[in-house]
Amino acid sequence: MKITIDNKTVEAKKGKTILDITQENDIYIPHLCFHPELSPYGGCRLCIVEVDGMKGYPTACTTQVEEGMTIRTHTKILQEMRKEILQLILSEHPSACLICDEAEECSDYQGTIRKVGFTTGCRWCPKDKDCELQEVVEYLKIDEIEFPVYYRDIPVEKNDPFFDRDYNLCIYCGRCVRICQEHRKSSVISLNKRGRYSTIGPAFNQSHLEANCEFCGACVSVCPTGALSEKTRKWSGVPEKYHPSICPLCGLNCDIQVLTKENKVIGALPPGDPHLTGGELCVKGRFCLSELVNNPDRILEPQYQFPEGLGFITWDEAFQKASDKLKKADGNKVAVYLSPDLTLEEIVAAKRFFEQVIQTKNITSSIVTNNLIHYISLSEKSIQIEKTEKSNSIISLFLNGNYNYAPVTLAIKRAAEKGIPYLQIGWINDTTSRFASYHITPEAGKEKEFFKEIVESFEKGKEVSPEISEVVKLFKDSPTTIILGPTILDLTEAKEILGNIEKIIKLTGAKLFVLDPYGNLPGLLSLVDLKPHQDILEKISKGKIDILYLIGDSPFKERPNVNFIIHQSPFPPSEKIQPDLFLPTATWGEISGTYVTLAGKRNKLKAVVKSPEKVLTNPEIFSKLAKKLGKKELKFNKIELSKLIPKKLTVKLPEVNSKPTEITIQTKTKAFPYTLIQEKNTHTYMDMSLSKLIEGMREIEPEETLIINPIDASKFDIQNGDQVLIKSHKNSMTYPVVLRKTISPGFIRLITSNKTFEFETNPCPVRFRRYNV
Amino acid sequence: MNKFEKLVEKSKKQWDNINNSKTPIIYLGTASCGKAAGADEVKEAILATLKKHKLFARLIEVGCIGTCYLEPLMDISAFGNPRISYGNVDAEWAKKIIEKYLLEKDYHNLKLLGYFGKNNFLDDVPRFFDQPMLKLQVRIVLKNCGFIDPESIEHYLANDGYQGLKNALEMSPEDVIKEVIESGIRGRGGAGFPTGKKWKFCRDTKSKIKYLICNADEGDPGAFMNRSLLEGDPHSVLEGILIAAYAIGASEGYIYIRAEYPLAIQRLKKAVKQMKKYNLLGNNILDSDFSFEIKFKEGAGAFVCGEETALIASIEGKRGMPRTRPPFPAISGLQGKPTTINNVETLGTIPHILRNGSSWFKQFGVENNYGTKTFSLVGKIRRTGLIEVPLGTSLRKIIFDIGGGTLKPFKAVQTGGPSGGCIPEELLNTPVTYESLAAAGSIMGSGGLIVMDKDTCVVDVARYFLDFCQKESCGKCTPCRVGTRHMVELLEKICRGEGEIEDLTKLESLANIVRATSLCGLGQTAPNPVLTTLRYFRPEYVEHIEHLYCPAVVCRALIEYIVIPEKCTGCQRCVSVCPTGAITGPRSEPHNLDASKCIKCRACYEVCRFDAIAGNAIIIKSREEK
Repeated sequence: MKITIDNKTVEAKKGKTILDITQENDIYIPHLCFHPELSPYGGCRLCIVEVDGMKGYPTACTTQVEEGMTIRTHTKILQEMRKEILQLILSEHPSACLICDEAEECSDYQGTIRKVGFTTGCRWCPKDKDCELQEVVEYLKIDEIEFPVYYRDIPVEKNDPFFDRDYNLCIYCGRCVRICQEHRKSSVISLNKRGRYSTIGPAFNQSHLEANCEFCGACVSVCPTGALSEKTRKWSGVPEKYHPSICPLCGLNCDIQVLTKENKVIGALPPGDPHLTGGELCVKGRFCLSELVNNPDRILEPQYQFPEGLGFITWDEAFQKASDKLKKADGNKVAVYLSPDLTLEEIVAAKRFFEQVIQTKNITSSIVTNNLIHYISLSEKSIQIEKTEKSNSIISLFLNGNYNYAPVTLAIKRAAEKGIPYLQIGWINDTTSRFASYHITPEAGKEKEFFKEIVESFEKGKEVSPEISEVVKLFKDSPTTIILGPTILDLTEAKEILGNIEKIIKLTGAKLFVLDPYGNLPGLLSLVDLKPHQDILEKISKGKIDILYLIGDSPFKERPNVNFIIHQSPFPPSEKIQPDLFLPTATWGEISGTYVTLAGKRNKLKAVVKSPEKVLTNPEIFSKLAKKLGKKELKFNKIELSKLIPKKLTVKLPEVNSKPTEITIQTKTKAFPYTLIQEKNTHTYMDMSLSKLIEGMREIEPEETLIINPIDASKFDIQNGDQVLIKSHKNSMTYPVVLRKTISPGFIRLITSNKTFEFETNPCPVRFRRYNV
Repeated sequence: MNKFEKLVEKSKKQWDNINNSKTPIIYLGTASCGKAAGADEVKEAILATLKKHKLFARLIEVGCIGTCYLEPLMDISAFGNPRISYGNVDAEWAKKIIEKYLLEKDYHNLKLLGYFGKNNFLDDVPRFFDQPMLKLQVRIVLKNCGFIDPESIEHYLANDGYQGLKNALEMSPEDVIKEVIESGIRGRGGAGFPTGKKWKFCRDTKSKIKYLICNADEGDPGAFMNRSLLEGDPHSVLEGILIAAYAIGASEGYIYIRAEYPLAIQRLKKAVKQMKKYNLLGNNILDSDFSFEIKFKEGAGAFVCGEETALIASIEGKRGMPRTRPPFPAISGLQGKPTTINNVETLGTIPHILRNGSSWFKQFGVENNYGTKTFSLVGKIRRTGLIEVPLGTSLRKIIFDIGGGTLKPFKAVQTGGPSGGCIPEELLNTPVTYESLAAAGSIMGSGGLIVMDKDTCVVDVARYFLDFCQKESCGKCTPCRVGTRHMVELLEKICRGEGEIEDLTKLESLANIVRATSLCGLGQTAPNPVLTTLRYFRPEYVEHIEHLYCPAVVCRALIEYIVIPEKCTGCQRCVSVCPTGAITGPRSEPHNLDASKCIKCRACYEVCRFDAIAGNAIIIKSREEK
């Protein structure tokens, strides 16, 4: 259709708004609440226009174009009114700097943002020079505010992890509320109260954590002012560069853009316009990466365990010490552990080094357990996330999507919103639970039987309980998509449960999506013939290993009985392992390389900053060590390494030990009425728990802490932070406690980064009480 | 329809039995207004008296007849006499009246108001409807209020109830809409959009699911038309809902009602149960193809939820926040489906149109403004209450002839609640029509009429209404959230005596911005009280600013309390009530009032006028008058 804007006839498509058409035709109409990913709002009122035949001043962002419409966008009266409206906005926003005569000179004198508790003007604001409000003020040329200025005097909210909220700067554009509801489908925040007391936040004065916020940061991304700001980035100012890369923190390898300034990673955002995109990142991709690279726990020089204690040494000394040991060693007595977070290039470098220089075949990774091999073997049938949305029904098994796998949870939520039935099986109330048509928690300790019953109902038409019949019904409406979470790997009977799930898939033709918690696990499995971890452990216990070479992997709780341990990683291992030699390596952000996903997609990691001076990359270390060990001819440069990566990567799985699980699981009894679920922390990078490295992660996924439902806690008068004594048949321990609605009543979560669990089985019947010192 | 006719017949018999009953019948108005005036105590007294004298009489609780200033109202029909009404009855009087009448057959006493009925049956008693407040009214919507037992569907059926629905179901939905368009009825919620057209839009939108919403979120301060109707005659509104739903093709309806109206909710819910029992709700209503369900949604008391789109959001479980229109609810409303939202009064009028035809309806009112409108007449008026008059009646007639005028000289009337405007005496001949009120800078609104006399300060009134709108703003759009705030602060400044003459210009320009650029009706109309008072009472604003003088003696900062020594007898009553110890003095000597301590709480003034020996020894004066 044709419409007239400011006396110019332009082409317009039906269903578009006036603002869309003006943007297509490069006509700028000031706006603040408009966001291209969100439904029209019409709150800020800056985009008012005049339309012939329409009453008053409709807003361009909400008015759809109609054939023959005549629109005026910049009449004198409109501009006057926009100025007035903007002044109204500014009268509630600390705007001293916006109208200050010295503003320009002042900004020249200030190299950094002043760190202050309260923002009273742009020079003290995290969003200075990156602020949409400033842009509009500049456009409308406001140099005076006619109205008295109000400061709301709301305390700045700093108690939640990852981002701060200063609602004194808020202009109520509602973008954060809408992105949370419409795009991320979380609905954690809303406008509260009325009139001049309007605020934004979770209902009933809950903290974001209590309100089940995923901390995806979409609200922070779209905030046009400095009201929402990242804790780690708020004083960094405007980023210098935006580098496309990927997030290494799980197998989904989400695309991101890394923000850098002065050779420092200052943050990460989803791809797209940095001011607008809500994206599909989880808390890890959005907030954890900069803290990972800049982590103060990183060790930036080689360390050696002298008899008198740990001390820094030079690289030359380090190579000397390593080569001294390795030269003498018998290849068969060297065991190597590789992290599933290494890039393909790093893996081939390691492979070349250990196979050709050290000549060992004892290469493994601590995660290569029987269960994981079984789990990954199912992934051969794995589908793409996008297809999930097109299935007839979705069933998630043991999914905890609160703080990860955001693209998957979003796909589930979008599908469920469209009316696709979604069934959640597990004990976690995660971000998808609200969308579940059914939420089934199998009887604790009877998970195996639960799935067996489904199998039998298909195989033999066996009568099943009403709960299971719901599941069976969904499976009959194929194609069903099963989304399988890695929590299952921690269960004692994982093997049997996985076996039943495999049968169900065969019987029903269901599609499967396997969630992989590691960055480059398929890469590691396809490039190296890994030995099962168990085999290496046996060798160590039999004294057949002299030297352990750990690369981004620390599989032991205590120092194993070996002669010499080399630990090569960006992060120091647990003190108890006491490596003899620690070689610091570059981390994500400092190296470029390739990851590969279960679906076979290769993703490029980009080096966006230079690594610290005394830190080397893994290939560099191998290259130098090889030279020291007399294998000069082996090259470890980029080109050589990329040649070593085959064009086609196929996941090779080590032999599975087929013995059935011997431990018998007990179910709840009167004496042990609760169920403890022990989980290995999968929020890791190079086997380093993010909960240990990053304060925010520690808050949302605390380790060695009991996570209890508030309903259960109230029965024992237990508060957040109390010490709780927990007892099973065989064990009893004391832990601090946090109360979360994310765990179903009757269940207790215990996350650990240890490789073995404290309690005899998983799930484990327990009882608990407050521990009185 | 046989079943229905039988039902009507049965109900009529029951109604006749009541009217011709040999047992005396006592009617007691127990709507919220009656209860507030003490109807519950009266009820207890009635029952106790009957028990004491072992009298056999039937007590029927009815709704409100509208004469609030006469509440509690008690009517008795006995001994073949018509129903006789008594006003301002308290427990003691109730006992006295019953004893006199039922034991001694003497119906005369001080509280007697009149009798109901057409014939001059009782020569020594006036007709109730000949009272000045009622004589000029035309009661269509309120026809049953105060007469029938609102909790009895039979009473409603006996009074032509559901006849409109029956007629409608015999017509095609299109014809029903045609009839309603023909009648010219316009939305009684305030904006005055033709109801029939609204239905037609919704009818014409193709969708399997459509909704009808009854807007019973009456949030204006001082308005109670809808509450009285829902409490006094819930079935008339429900019948209107059914007709509207049938016309637009809705199968599900919501009544969005304030949680602050518990009695109305209770009566509506009871009525809905009765309807289900008689197949007036549910599947195949009255054996037709029309099926309909009604759900209730209680509002949490947000003024903005009277706005259609905010109301819809609230029903959907979201925060009550408006969105821009188009799309109009008729195209995309509740859950994105075509929705019609009608006001309680509109729906209460519909059955009468379908019962008696559009041409009958058109005999009331004036061109383009047909029918009647209910108003709640409140403020500084002699006869407060709920009235119904044909559209086109002048404000003067309503205020002076029906309402009995004001005690002190009349100053202004606020129509349309907080979003309306203040109309001065010069414009009192304005006929009450949608257009003429708009021309005067006000709106029809849902029908609140707040009358002010010379003791009312217009600046203070404007401040009060604007403050109300500011506090009820949802905060979504800038002009309404911030603009009204600045306006309130400017008005407060003027009330404090700190205003400057430029503030009036600022106020006006701000008012125009807020009016022109706000998102929804709340913001667009919020400046009306300011704009109209500035238009008609500008000198009073100027007095506040230039002479620090509040002619109405209201604005606290501009007045002072003075003890007139000549009048003061030194009774010390004021000394004992003064919370700050501003008044001192020994007994029997004129007291001394320390202005620096006085917080102008008015306690001494009140106590001096009503309790003290001297009376009127304390006066409140505007500062400059001194």
